[in-house]
Amino acid sequence: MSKRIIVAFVVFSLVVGLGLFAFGQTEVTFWHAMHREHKKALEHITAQFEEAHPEIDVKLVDQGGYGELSQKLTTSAAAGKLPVSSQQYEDWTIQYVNADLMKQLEGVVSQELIDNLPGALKDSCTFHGNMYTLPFNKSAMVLFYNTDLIEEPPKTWEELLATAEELTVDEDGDGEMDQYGFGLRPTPELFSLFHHQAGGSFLSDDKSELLIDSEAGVRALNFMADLRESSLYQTGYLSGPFGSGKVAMYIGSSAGAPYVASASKGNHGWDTAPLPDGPANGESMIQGTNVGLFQAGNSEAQVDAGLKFIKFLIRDEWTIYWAKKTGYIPVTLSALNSDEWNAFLDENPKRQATTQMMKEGFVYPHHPDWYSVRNIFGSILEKTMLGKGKPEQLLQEGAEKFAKEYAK
Amino acid sequence: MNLKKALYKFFTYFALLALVVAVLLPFYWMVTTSFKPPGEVNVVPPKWIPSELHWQNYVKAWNAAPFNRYFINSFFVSIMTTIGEVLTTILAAYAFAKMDFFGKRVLFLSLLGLMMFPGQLRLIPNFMLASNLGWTDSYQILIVPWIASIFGIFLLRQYFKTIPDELWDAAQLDGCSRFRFLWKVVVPLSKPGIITVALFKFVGSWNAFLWVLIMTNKPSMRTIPVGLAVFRSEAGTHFAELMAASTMAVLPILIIFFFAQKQFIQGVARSGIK
Repeated sequence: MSKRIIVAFVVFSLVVGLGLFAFGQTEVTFWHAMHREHKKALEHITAQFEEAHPEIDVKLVDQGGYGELSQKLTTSAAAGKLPVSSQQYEDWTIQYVNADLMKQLEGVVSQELIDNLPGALKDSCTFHGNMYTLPFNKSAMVLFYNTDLIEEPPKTWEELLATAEELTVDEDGDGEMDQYGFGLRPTPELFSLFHHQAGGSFLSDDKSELLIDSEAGVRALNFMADLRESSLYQTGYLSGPFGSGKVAMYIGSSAGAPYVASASKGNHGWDTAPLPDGPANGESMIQGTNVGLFQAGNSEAQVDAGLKFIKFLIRDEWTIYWAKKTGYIPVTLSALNSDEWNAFLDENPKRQATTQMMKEGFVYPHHPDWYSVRNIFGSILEKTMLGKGKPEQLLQEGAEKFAKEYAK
Repeated sequence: MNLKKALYKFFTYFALLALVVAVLLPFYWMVTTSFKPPGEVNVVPPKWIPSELHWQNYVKAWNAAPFNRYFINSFFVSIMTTIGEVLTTILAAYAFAKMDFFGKRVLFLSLLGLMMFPGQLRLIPNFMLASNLGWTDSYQILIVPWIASIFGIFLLRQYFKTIPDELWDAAQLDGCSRFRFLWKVVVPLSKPGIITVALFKFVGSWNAFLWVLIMTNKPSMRTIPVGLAVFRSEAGTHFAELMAASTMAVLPILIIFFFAQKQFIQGVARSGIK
């Protein structure tokens, strides 16, 4: 009889215990666009988080590429079915903030954590003066160069032009260049970078004016036009032509390093360098996404659990692990300055430049229509490269277009 | 005269050959790139023949995402939507072509009018509906909304209209019901039209991307086109592996095309689709 009671008690305890465990977990859905090694690293960090927080169940949902993730978030926001957390670019976040979908992090995360973020990343996560996201997968623009052709990478705009000219050669004299000194992908980002390095800023404080119609804008455009003379000019990614030896150097996102490594394998050596200094500064554009919390449609317990998760992602230990495994950069100052990261840089010198650029970076201004505003830059660039207008006139037209269509 | 004829023939075939090359070139690039080692993918000028067959691209592509599951889902969803659409389309098209009922013309024109609304416009309301029904992440949502097609109804209606009414009169004399007449007489006579509808549906379902992306979150419910997104990132595209996965994805369609190319071409000619 007593044996039966003991067995019944054990079974009952197991059922109740397991039931409580199963039903007591708070579910956090996290939407991302990470694949392959990046996805594995994210899954590893998530497993560590769940081990440390058995009361939380994180459901990682792979939504394809960033374009697909954006579409999913837009549809889900309209239907009120948002995940607890997601990767997001700044121009997506500001739309969610304006629609009151996001959880504000100001006063929720510690000041110590905020002060531990590099300035550019703090800017990247701040909207209307308040912090709404935390940085996650961050990269910076760097100079990729062919070490078989270039011993000392250029340090200024002038040196960049001179090196590009020197390395642009027509070996067989058929009138077509066999090697270009520079690879020019005329993206709005590249114009923005040069515009910033020339001392320009994008928007007035009240976001009503696009400030590209300036001396800095003209200098940036003229510099790009000069560079074009010694460049392979194409709209596609440059890792391919760089890897094949067609292009001796180019400026691109450090996130492209795995593609450069793959394309250059067996062809030539390569390295990265900090960006050449412009007339005003040598700062780099910081790119990549942040992570934020959607309060709309989710319970307070889920949002709190989500907060724990996104804070976990940027703990020194895990942001360093993430950076080592993926090629992104640690997102906190303490991690960037840590012995562990510096020891890793000693073993992987190709990552030095990106780390330096991260500390001296800037980000795009936050404007809900920034994705469309970028197109203004694209149009100006296209006309400049085709010689269809003077920089001053094109920049003025761009500023006027902004005032007409996007001024808030 | 003979020379003129020969020249005409030569230029005709030359033009056709040029068109064939233009159409096949991207396909050739896809297949050859799927075998290229990493350093040969983006070279300028392009390398048309890989220096070695890098089969590893296929292994890497297959392992980059749960493609076995994606293939099963793509097959299942494509087959089920095709069967469903063929059945509903035959019934609706017959009613519109051969039966008289109140409001037939208005109903038919309304259906055609609905085709003017782009799918993207209906996406958010559809997602809300699916979500409220609890159908997201299910086979129902991937199949049920797609088992009826206005275009298919229109196509088959036109086909059924060419069948003489005298056949129905004769069948009636023999005591045949409408339903039996449809399956025993109309359907066998309309095989090319029905196969055309089925083929377009299968290919459409196989290539469907946005609907599957929006309606599903679980990898176990996704299909091949959504899976192909894993090869792109913000900084580049793994072209060799993307092309390997694309080659695998396009194979079933190619096989179907080889077996049913006559119907495909007739279907294109009949429907005016380009």
